[in-house]
Amino acid sequence: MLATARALTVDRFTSEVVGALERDGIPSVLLKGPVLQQWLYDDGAPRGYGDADILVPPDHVDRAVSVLDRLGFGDRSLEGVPHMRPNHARTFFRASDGATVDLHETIPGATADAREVWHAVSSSATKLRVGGRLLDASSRPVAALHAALHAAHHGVKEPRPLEDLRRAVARASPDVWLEAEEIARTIGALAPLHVGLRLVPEGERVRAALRTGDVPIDPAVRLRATTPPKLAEGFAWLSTQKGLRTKAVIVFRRLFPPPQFMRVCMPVARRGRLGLVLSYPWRLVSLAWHAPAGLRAWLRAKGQT
Amino acid sequence: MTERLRIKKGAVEWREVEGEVVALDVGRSEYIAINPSGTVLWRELETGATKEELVLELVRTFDVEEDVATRDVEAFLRTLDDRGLLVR
Repeated sequence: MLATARALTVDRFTSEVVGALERDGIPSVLLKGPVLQQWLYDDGAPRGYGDADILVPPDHVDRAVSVLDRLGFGDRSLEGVPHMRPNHARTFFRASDGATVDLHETIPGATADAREVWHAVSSSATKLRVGGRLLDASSRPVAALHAALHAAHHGVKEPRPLEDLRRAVARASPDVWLEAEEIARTIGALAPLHVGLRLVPEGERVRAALRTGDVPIDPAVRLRATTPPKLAEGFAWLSTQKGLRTKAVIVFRRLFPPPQFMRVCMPVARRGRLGLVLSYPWRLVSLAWHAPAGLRAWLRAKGQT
Repeated sequence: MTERLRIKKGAVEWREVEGEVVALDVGRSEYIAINPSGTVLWRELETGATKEELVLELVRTFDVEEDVATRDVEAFLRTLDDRGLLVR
């Protein structure tokens, strides 16, 4: 009940944000949340969501950030912190009502340029009524693809993305999946599509019917699908960086990140100067604690190549 | 002539989950959780119904006495009216 109430609130501020973007001439496409809820949970089963996932064209991101700023949202992402792994979205939070917006420049698992992703998603967008307003939202093939990519992104231990995918597999026709596959090819997301579909038993049938046969799976994609322990993805990302010096700088930055990072990631660092100072030794202890399991998970995923 | 009643468009956002309506009263920013009998009435009020039709629907769905259903319908309509969620 509470999850549904929260989702209704999210719908309201989603409508507010998209309306404000529209007034500034910024196109957007709504992803996940209400898209999956209205398509896959129309049997009355609960499917809550706590934030709005909004995709904008990459060359409009800065203006979209200005709009969010004007609406009272603060940037909770690590954008601008050097040597951070790139993320597919930036999180914005409004303290007055707890509204949270994930501003997407791309979608998880896509390796193509963000402009390609925008084109593929926006060109097939459909209208959806959310929070009393008709918004552009991802089409069924994009939503099906996103369900698979999201499951692959969060891995086998996250029940909600898996339930979304189970329902998408049951609901979407073979044609929808073939279209999803074409979009995955365009945005460079074939590998996580295949990996995602393998995470649910019914998905294997869909995967087997796709046009592409077996696709090579990057170890990092394989790793993600296991819902790896902390730091494992950091090791995977580090391994892709070129040069010893670059790697050393990244490790140093991970050990001693700037205050902006600490304040976002560690609540204690938000408690004044003393809290910030204390957060650094705490971080070192935490990293030392989690590193062995993370490294083992990464090496295991790498060894399966 | 009996007036037709309906939920005021745009005044609430709502969703039916597991047989019960959860609604957000947009003006007050308050949630309303509606029980199964209220949910039956809500569905009717979405498209518009008279008080008599609502009573009949309750009698038909829950097999209750007409006077009990009438009391329930009146109480439900009063709650919606107090919140300004009904149009006639």
